[in-house]
Amino acid sequence: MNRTIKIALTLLLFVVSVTGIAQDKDIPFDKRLFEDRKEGFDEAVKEIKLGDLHFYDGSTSDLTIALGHYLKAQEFNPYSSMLNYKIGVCFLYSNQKFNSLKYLEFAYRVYPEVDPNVRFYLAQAHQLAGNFEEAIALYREHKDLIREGDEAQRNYINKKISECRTGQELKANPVRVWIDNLGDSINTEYPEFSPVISADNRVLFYTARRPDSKGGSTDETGFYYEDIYYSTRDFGGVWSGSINMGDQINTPSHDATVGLAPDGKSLLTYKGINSKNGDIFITRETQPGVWETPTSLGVNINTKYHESSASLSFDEKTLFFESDQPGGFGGHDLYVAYWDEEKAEWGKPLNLGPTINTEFEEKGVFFHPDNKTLYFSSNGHNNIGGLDIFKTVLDAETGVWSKPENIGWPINTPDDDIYFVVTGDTRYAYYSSYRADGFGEKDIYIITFLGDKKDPLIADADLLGTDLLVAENKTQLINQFDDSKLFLVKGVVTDGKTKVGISANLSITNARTNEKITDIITNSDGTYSAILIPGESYAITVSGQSYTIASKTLNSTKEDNNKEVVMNFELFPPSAGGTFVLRNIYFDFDESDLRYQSVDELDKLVKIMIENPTLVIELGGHTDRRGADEYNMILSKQRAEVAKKYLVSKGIDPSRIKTKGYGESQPEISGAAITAMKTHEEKEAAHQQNRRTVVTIISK
Amino acid sequence: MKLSLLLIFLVPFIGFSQAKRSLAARKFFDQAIEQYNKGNSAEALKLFEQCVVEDSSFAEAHLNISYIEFDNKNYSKALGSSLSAFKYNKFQAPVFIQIGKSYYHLAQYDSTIIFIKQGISYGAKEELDYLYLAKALLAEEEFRQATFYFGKAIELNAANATTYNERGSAYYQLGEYELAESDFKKSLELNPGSAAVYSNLANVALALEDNETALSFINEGIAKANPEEKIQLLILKGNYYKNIGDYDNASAAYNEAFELDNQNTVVLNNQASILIELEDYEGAFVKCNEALDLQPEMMEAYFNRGIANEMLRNVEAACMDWEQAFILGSEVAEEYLNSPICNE
Repeated sequence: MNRTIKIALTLLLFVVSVTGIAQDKDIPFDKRLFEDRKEGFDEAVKEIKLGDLHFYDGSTSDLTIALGHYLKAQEFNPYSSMLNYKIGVCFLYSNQKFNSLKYLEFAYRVYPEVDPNVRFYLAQAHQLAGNFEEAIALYREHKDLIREGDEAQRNYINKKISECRTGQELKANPVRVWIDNLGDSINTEYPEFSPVISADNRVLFYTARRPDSKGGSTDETGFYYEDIYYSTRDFGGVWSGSINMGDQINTPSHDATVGLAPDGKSLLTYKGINSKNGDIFITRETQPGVWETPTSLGVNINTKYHESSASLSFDEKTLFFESDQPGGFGGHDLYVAYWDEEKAEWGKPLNLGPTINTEFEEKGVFFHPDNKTLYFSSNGHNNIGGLDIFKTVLDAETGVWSKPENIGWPINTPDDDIYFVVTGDTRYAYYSSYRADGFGEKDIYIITFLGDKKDPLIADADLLGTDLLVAENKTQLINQFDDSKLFLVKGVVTDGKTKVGISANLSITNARTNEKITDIITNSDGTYSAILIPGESYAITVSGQSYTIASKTLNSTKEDNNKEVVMNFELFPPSAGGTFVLRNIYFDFDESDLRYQSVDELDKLVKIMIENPTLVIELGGHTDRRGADEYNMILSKQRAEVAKKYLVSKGIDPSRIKTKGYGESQPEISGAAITAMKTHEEKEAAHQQNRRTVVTIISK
Repeated sequence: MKLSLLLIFLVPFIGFSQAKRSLAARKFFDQAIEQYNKGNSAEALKLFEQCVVEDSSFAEAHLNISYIEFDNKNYSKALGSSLSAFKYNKFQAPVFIQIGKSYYHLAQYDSTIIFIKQGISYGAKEELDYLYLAKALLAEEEFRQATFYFGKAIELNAANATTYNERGSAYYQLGEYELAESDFKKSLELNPGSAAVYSNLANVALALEDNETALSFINEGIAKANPEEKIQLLILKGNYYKNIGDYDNASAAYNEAFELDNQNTVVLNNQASILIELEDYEGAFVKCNEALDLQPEMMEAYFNRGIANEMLRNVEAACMDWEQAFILGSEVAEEYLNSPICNE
């Protein structure tokens, strides 16, 4: 084989083999492996050593410096397990934590024993990424390696495992929210955090560490000093570009937002020199855009310890704040203080107690304008990693706070979630977070609460009918109309109280033959009409849904031919003390047996009794004046009893029906009036009117 | 229409005594009857028409013309002739009934109700009279009255499977599901092969949350259904599966219905509902639009499009959709309108 080709092939093989093996194999910084790249190797090793100088010191800022060196070495050889491990750890303690996972994963994969703590750090990286199952497994493996007797470490790992379990639960039931970056009018490549918002969601103040800060210089972390900025929006509009609050509020040192009164006119700020001491101030907007010089909240609030977060109630008479002063439960705790009108100062603060405060940190407090809900961040309670946002509700009667509730995934992440504020209508919240879609460093995000899932509606399938008229037979023709003598009865059925026409059922029966003439339903306005043959007597009974009965007898004569007769009815709902009259219950003269023609009306009464199961009635029998008083009294009682018997036979409880005979004692038309009538027919009609059964509702 | 009603109630009652007919008119009339009885409807029709030329006030002839036209399914002509009969004799039950029936077939149900009710109050009491009235009431969503008149028809003929089915539908609309079920079962007893009744029974079972029974009725019905019935049964099937959270099978059922009729708004809307469950909001939006193009007052489609719009971040459009849904009767849409979603 040609020599050139041989060398080329060998090189190709080497490259392929090195490339192929390096994905799953540890390539340490061993000069024997890099003899052909000596210069680059030496540089890389130098960077590693420089990085090591800071890495083992352990402070966060040192790790950031170390990271810089390590990444340079990584460019030379990306496959060293130890280098990847160190880079992963550095990232884990930086503001770019999400980058740690791939380095730690590689290190662990190619050399599981690269460091005794690799499982621990990798577990943390997985936890941050929301891979809780993997994190739990690694924490457990690491726990097995913990030295006997090191209970502190063991307890710490147990807590991490617990956080992961909580994370699994919350992730399985995510809160329905949109989480959106506020965009480049608010956020930049620099840190923006600690948003505070007016209740009407129109004014936003927040803290940023940008080159245009008042101080203009950076602190030991390398970030610019904190300044306070604000932005506004119109109804339904977008946030305006951010504006530095300027000399009124900002100083060359750190100035940060802490809280905002719901009306947006009183701003709480933080001033601090270092992490051990910081105080809370308040400033008020006296005119649009003009703010007072911030004043301290006073000695009862500001101690020589660290106070950095506060929130005012709607009436600005109650102040919630965080402090790490002694006497708490551990770390920062939450306190409440009340404004003393007499002394014009804040009163002595009270620790909010063990329901809220834990041995861990409680920070970032916000009291909602609803005057009962408190939001705060904690890495105690049932968090899923770092500080999580919780809410608790005050029972105004007992003064007891509810058990804090984690507000859920994905609002809470395994990293720190803090400075959470909610608008008055609870539709939106703002907080600062470090997310992949940010502009760089922490950004401010808006959370839109979508509420419960909205169920879509399905439309029902149509009910299927048949065109019943398809099979209709050939029509029978008319030879001649029946032009019998006829008369028209018409009228309207109304509600007895409102006098408004109502829909009702009308039964018309020939009173003599009991032949049902027609059953009709009135028009919706209560009107009806019917054609009848004159010279007959008709029983008309009207009933309606949720009403009692009305009945009348229509006695027509042959002279009614071609005439119109108006017969109106009023119906009343059943009510205690109410009465209605049944006129079409028939007895033969001097008899107490029910005529068969009467059942229609009694059946309607049965229906009313069934529809109103608690109705108790009295059936009052009335006779006309013919016959002796005492006799008529007995007869009317007997007739009432017979009617009752019919109702009982239809299943009505007899205890619901009282009976009484009134005889001729309560005529509708007096004897004198009847005597004065001229015709026999008129008198008979009057007697008939007096013969009736009155239904009185005793109770409903 | 209202004018006709006014005429009934404002014109004073005038008795109509037997008019004297000309011999010629009478002759034509009698010949027409004879021809009709021999089965020569066309010839009978011509003779009746000649009759009314001779005597335009011959109400019976007008009515008979209406009957023949009705039998020939010429409902407009049938209506015209029956109104002519009415012009000359306003108080005959058969005239009112015939006018009502003609209006029914022209889908003017409010007029049907007025005239047939009048006919009944004037003494008409055939099964078919009650059925026409009941069907018209059903179409006008007067369900309670419809059940009353279906009941009257059943009193006259308890063996009509269709009547039970229709009354069952009225009870269903009233939410009286047990009564509906009873009527549907009776109908099925009288007509065991009816896919329509199986479908209705399935609807009731779903309303009573007896899903298993509903599914068995649906499957029975599909086996017996014609294409139009099958669509409704597939919708039912889809609704059943959606109610139990089986979106795959629900989607399959709706899609099969869609293949049979891609203009069915219920199908389109329900497909949209599944897409919403599956979080395909853009797909749901498209389906809702299609439904609303076909049926601009479909409450469910507005409601669902509102959900899709909200999830697509078109909150203002969502609120407008829910406003429409509210106007069309959705109480839940009203809640959304009053919530912070639509009230910043």
